[in-house]
This record gives sequence, structure tokens and C-alpha cells, in this order.
Amino acid sequence: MIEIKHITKSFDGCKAVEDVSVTIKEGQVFGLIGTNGAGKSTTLRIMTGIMKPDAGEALVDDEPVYRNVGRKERITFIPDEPYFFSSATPVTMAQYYASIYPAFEMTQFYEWLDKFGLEKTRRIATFSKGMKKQLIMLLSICTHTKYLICDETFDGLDPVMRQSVKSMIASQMEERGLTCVIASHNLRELEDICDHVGLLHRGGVLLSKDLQDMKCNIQKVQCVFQTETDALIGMQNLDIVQKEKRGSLYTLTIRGKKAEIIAHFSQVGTVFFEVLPLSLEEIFISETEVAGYDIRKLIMG
Amino acid sequence: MTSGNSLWVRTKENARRRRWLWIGNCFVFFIWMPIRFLAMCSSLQRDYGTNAGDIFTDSARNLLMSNIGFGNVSSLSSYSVMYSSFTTLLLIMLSAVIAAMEGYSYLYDRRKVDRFHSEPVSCRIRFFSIYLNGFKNFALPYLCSVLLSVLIGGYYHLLTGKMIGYFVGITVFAMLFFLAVYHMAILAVVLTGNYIAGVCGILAFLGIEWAIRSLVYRYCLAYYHTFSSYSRDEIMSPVFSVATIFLQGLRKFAVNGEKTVTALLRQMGSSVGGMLLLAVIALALAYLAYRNRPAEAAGHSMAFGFLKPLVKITAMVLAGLTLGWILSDLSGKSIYIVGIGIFMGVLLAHCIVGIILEQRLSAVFHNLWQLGLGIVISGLIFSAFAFDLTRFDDRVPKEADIDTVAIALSAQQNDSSSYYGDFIKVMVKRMYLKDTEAALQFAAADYFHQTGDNELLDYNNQYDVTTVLYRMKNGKEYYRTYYIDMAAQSDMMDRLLENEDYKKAVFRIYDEDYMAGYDRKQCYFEDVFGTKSLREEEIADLIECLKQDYTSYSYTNLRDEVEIGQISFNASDKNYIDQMSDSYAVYPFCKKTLAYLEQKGYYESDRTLLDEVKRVEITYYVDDDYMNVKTENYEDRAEIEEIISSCQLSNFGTWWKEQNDYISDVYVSTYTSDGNIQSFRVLKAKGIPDFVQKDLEYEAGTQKE
Repeated sequence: MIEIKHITKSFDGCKAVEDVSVTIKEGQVFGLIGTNGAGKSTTLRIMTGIMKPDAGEALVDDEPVYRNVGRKERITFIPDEPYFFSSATPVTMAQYYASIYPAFEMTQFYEWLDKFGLEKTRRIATFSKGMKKQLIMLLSICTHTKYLICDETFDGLDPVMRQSVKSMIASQMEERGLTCVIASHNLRELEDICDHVGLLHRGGVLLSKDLQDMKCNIQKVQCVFQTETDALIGMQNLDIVQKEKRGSLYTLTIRGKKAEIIAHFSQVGTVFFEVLPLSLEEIFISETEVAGYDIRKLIMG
Repeated sequence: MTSGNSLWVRTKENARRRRWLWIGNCFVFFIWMPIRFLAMCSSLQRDYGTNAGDIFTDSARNLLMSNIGFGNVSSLSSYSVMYSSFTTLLLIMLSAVIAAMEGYSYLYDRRKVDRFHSEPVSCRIRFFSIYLNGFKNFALPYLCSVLLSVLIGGYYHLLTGKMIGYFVGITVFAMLFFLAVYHMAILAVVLTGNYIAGVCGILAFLGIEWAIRSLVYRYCLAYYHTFSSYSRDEIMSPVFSVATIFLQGLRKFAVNGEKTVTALLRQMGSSVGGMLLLAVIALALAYLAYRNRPAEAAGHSMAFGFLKPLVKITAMVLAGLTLGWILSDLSGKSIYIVGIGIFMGVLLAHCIVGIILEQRLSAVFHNLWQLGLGIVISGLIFSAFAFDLTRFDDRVPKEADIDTVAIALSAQQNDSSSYYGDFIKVMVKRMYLKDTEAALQFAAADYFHQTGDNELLDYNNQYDVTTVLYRMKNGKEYYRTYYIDMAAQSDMMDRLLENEDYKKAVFRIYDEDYMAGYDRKQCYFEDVFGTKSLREEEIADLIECLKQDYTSYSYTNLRDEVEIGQISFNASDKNYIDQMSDSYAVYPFCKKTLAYLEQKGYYESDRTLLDEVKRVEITYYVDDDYMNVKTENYEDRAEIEEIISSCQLSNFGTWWKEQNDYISDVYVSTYTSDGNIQSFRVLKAKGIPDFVQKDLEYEAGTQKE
């Protein structure tokens, strides 16, 4: 388990993160969302023991990670701009990784390299940005560490590659219980992979919730009421987060359990109603609006 | 499975990535040492062949010593060490700086810091794996180059046991030098956050002490009247400047001659110790800084923010004082010009260093308090020198604290121009006067002390620039320079010059082993009639006469009598490598010497120059730039006699006389029938004959006094 406890970090008097606390359970994919400058990279660099926080602490399996080789052995960090040695090839980089991480899976690495169509002996400097991202992902996964910390990993990957990488992470989670932390400024990138999401804004945690919990507690309903009076009565006693009307069709985002909402609409005068699946974006909109923020401005631009 | 966090694994892996450095060092050192040596040996062999085997061996040995040992066997003097070792020294320094930069500059790049610092490798192992590779990348090529040069020397039968001992010692010393520079460069890289700041840091670490000491020396020399240039070594003795420590160590070793490992260690112990201590301190600080360096420092100018003002203010003060000193020199110490210089220097450094540190042009408008502080500190330091706030010039040791003194007169130096080496340095090393009160009298008689002037304004008198060395009972030594009006202090001058210890120190003829051990000995007597060579067997007797006569050596005699001639002693070994020369003034008071010289036919007391002069030429320097010159020639006996009677017929010993005794712009040259030409000064008391004044349209005092 990775625990970030009340960390604060300032650069030249400017606070990059302030009193941030998050807990990442084992076997989870934790999405760290935030705009540029929200403090994602700083949080990840503290989490991986690169930086020392000014206050608070970052624990990996109950021990501080900073200057702790034993704990760093359990983490692989993929920075937003990965560094490869000049004139290095995938093979030489793999050898380097193998010298650092004794459990590095060379055979698996070569298999995946073939699968992703990356040449073994080609100089990495000639790779495209996306190819470099793929390569660093492959190298990192093959280290077989317990935790994989990724900073803007999907940035620069085409949709097919993004899906392949996601599948790779999913398979590793299934096979060996990999725990993954993925930081991104784009909510849509994390939609189908995260179990838990933390939203950073201006150096602080705006919210940190389990995606399943969030999905259970908020519903999207489309319905047509028989009369306007039915509509007024039907929307009474509901915790409506968002309401939209097109003709006679209402689209409502309502806080509450699915069963309770279905029961409610069964009893009021509707021509028809159905409960629709909510996107991560919609969930966030509703959640952050509660806190007084407009998520579209924060993340979706 | 081997852990990735192992020094061996990491060093091996690091070495793989730094092969280019190793190859580069091999290339440079192999070419510079064994290949160059081989080429030069081949060239020598071609030049001398087998017919001149000894010459080839000597020359090739010198080449080998120069190649490996930073010097030359036969002329391993301070100068030959300086120049012949410069390139090798530079290569070693460059190698150390590149190794440090190459190894640790990853700290300047955030991406690389992310890469390496997130890895499960301890800080200590990461630091030392890079460190060991840097050292190895220099040490192996260097040692192999030395070894190859030695093997080539062996092939040409050049090696002796002593030479091998010397090579071992000097190679260890060179490695130590590399380490000291390497550690300082690492410290500079670790303390900074980008390449510009890193390079500035390395330059500062290698040269700042020298710069500060040099500046202090210049200011002392410019503003303290009693400061002696012989205190230079005291001020310029390095503590942290590795290159200077290295060169001083080499010089100590080279000058003292014996070239064995034990001699090397004995003579260079302090240099080796100093360098070792410096290397250890720099490495400890570098590791400490590396360990505590924040990752976010990458790309910033300094790794630790609190160092920024310190660095900037130091640079501002140094720049201000340097520009101040330059303008002080140019403006004749005008306080306003120096003030402007200091302000400009501080401002310039504020802008340049500010931009480097903050990495933006607008930095020139930031931290103006630092600019103010820089000006204040520079101004205070300048004032300390200019207004002698530390009362340096007034400081005279208490007589009770002085053990012995040495008093070296510039007049004595000028009078003994053929004396070996640096007269003042040699003098103070030989002189241990118990008459400490004499030194205090000199201090009290100093012109500046007596007049309170800031400049030497009275040019009418002959001033002696006297160097005094106070040797204190606590073992410390202080040099001071005093400006002495000799005529006004004749009693004090007599007291010194009549002192037996003084005479024994100044005149080497009193040494028991004088001229002993030399194969060739020569003696000459020179007067206005020419130079005569004495026979070798006459030298001992002449020295005895001189010793007896010199019991009457006193300032009053030197001032009042006209020097008749000079005796010079020259000696050397068979090959003229070890040489000495020494000269002694012969005055009328040297009766025994003159009698001996006359007896042996080298001197004629009744011979007068007037009888032999055929023509006299008068030269009149109309102005003091010696460009406007008038000359007149006289061959009439009566005129010649009148002209010569107004001259001091000796060119020797004028340093003891009052400059005011002579007419400064007229010189008389005499031409004898045998081609002897002599030039004399005209005595003011006698004056220039009227007919000469008329011919030359002489106007007294056209020159500046």
C-alpha cells in the first residue's frame, strides 16, 4: 500500500502541493487527475522517493520511500519525459534495467517488443515519441515490481496503442497483482482503467474516491412525464445534480442508489424512464460541483 | 541474483556507458607521453647517431624526465618546472574536470534525476560508482602511459634506479593532484544546477583563493607604505589552490636536487599532506552536498538557495576591488576614480552573476540590497587599505618579542650588483642581527612615519628602500619596507654597516668555505683605467687584505670617499654549470688591498686619468625624456683639465651618495688614446665650467626634480 500523508512541497516559495493525502491500495489502478501545474508530477516524484517533501511523508508498504532502497525496489517510475541513454537501443536499455531490477523479465520483454513492432537494435533516439512511450512502458512492466507509477503515460499514444498498454496493465494486475498509479490531465484517458481516482487542484486534493462507489451513488435517468404536474411531483424529493429538458424528454443526474431511483420512478406518472450508464466525466462533474468547482474548467478545458 | 544496489554492479554498468571518456583519455595521454617520447627519441637518434651516445643518452633522459616527471634532469629549476610541466598539468586538470562534469552533470537534467533517483540504488553507491569510474578513466590511461614511456626509456638504456624512484614518487603525486582537482570539480558540480554555473564553480574553486590573495597582495603593495614585496610568499602561500600547491611541491623537489622517493617525500611532505587534506575535505563536502542535494535543483543555477547571495556578494566584492585596483593603478590612486571603479565592478558583477544565478535578464533589477551590500563591503575593504584602518604601517614589534632581525639595504644591493640570486632574499637568509634596536631605529626613521605624507614627495635626498625582516621569538616572521634618508640618519647607518654580523652576512668573503669546492676560480680588479685579471694563487691573499680593510667599512666612509674600483671573484665547476660571482668595492680606506694590488702591478696610485684623456664629450639632456640631447667635444688640455676636475672620477658607489650632490642632466665621457671610454657625473659643488655652459646653452633645472 502506498500512503501519502499530508505532504507539502514548495519550489522557490511557491507551493506545488499542499497537505495532500491519498492512499493507494494494492491491486488498484489509481488515477491522479489534475490540470497542468496541479501538483501531479510532484506528488508522483515524492511517492517514488525522488523528492523529499517539506512536510508530511510518503510511505510504501508502511516505510518511508525517500532514500529507502528496499522500498524503491518495489516501485518503477515512468516519468512524463522518459530518459534513455544516448545511443541506447531497446536491448541495451533492457540490459540496464536488468542490472537494476534483478527480477527483470528479459524473455517477456522481447516478446512484447515483437508484439509492439519495436526493433530491438534500433537506436532509441530515432524512435517517435509514441514509440518511446511504448518502450518505457514495456521496460517498466518487465521489471516485475509491485508498484508502477506512471506520469502522463498515455500522452502521445494513439488509441490502439493506448488500448494495448491498458490491456497489458490489466493482465499484469490479474497475473501478479500489480498496483498502478497513473497521473493524467485527461479524464477520458483513465475512464476505463481506474478503480480509484484522486483529483488534484492547485496543489491540494479536491476529492479522492472509489470509482465504483461514485458510480453507485449517482445515476442518470432519461424520462418523459405524462403531465407537467407529474413532472413536478416526480422530481420532488430527489437529489438532482443536473437537469436537462429537450421537448418532453428530461435527462436527470440524480444522487442516490439505482434501486431506490428505479422504485421512485416506477411510482410517479411517467410515459417511460430508463437509467443510463454515467461516464467518468459526468460523475466528476457532479462530484466537483458539490465542492463548488466546475470540472469542465478544471480538466476538460 | 546479484542486487542492483551493489557498488561493483553499478560501477561496471557505469563504466560501460562512459567508454568514450576512457578512450579519449587513452588517446590524449598515449599521444602526449609515450608516442611523443618515442618520436623525440627517434629524432634524437637520427641527429646524434651512435657516434655521440652520451649526448643522446643525456638528451633522451632529459626528455623522459620532462615527459613523465614534469621537469628536466639538468635544469630542474623553478622555471623549467613551470613551463615543461604546464601541458601535462593542464591535461590532468582537464581530465579531472571532464570526469567530474561527465559523471555528475546528470544532476542538471530533471529527466536524468528522475531516472536515476527513482532507481533502487543507494545514494552512496550511486555517488561512488560514478566517482570510481571517473578516477579509473584517468588513472589507467595515465599509468599505462607512464609505464610505456618508462619501457621505451628502458629500451634506449636511459633508466637509472634514482629515475625510477623519482617516477614512482612523481606519478603518485600527479595522481593526488588529479584527485584534488577532481574532488573540487565534483563539489562545484554538485553545488550547482546547470553547466554555466558548474563551470563558473569549478573555475572559482580552482582559482578563487589565488584571486583573493593576489588582490590582497596588490592592495597591500599599493596602499601600505611599509609593506614589503617580500611578504608576497607569505600572502600568496596557497591553502586551497591545488595547482599552486602542486607546482610548489615540484619546485621544492626540483630545486633541492636529489631525486629519490624518500627525498621526494621528505621535501614535498607538506605539499603532499596539504593536497591530501584538501582532496579529502573536498570529497567529504562533495558527498555531503550530493546526499542532501534536492532533486528539484536540476536546471537551477545553485543546488542550495542559501549559497546564492554568498556567491553573488563574493563575486561582486572581488570584481569591485579588482576594477578599483586597476583604476587606482592608472589614476595614481585617485580616491574618486577608485570609488567609481569599485562601483562599476560591483554593478557589473551584480548584473552578470545575477543573470547567471536567476537565469533571466530582469535579475539585474532584483536583490538590490545585495548590490548595496556589495558596495558597502568593497568600500570597507578598500578603506581598510587606503586609510590604513588596521594601522598596518604603524605596527612595529616590541623589542622584547624580537629574536633577531635582518636589514637589507637597497644601496647595498645596487652596490653589489653581481651578487648571486635575489640579493634581498639571500641577505635576509644569511643575516641574524642581535642588534634588534637597530631595526626599530629604521622603523622610526621611515620617511612616511616621520613626515606623515602619503607619497614620497622629497626627491632631493637619497632614500634607501630598506627591507627589514623581524624574526619573532614565537617563530613568526614579518617583512617591512622603510624609506630611509641615509644622510639624515648617518649615525644609524654607521651603526648598521659597522656591525660585524651585518658584514659577515653581506660579504661572503667572511665565509669559511668561500670559493671552496669550485674547480675554476678567477679574480678581476676594475678601475677607471680598465680591468685586470689576478692570478689564482693571489686570490687568498687579496681576500685576507679585503677582510682586514672591511673592518673600517662604514656608511660615513662610503658617503665621503670616492670608490676607486671593484674586485670581482668568479668561480665555477668544470662544466660551468654551478657558478658564483661576487664583487667588492675598493675605497681609499681599503689601504691594505690597494697596497697589495699596487704591489702586484694591478693598481697605480699615482696614475691619473687626466694624463691619458685625449678628448672629452659633454652630453646635456635638455629634458627628462632624454629625447632632446646636446653634445659638445673638447680636446684642449686646459679645458679637459677643468672639466675633469668638476667630475667624480668613479662610476662606482654612487648609491651611498646624495643624489643632490650631482648635476642630474649633464654627463661627461672621457676618451683615452687606447680606446677606453668612461662616463662620469658632474659634482654639483664643483659646477659646470662656464665655457661648457655657454657652448651648450645650459640652463639649470630644465629637468624635473
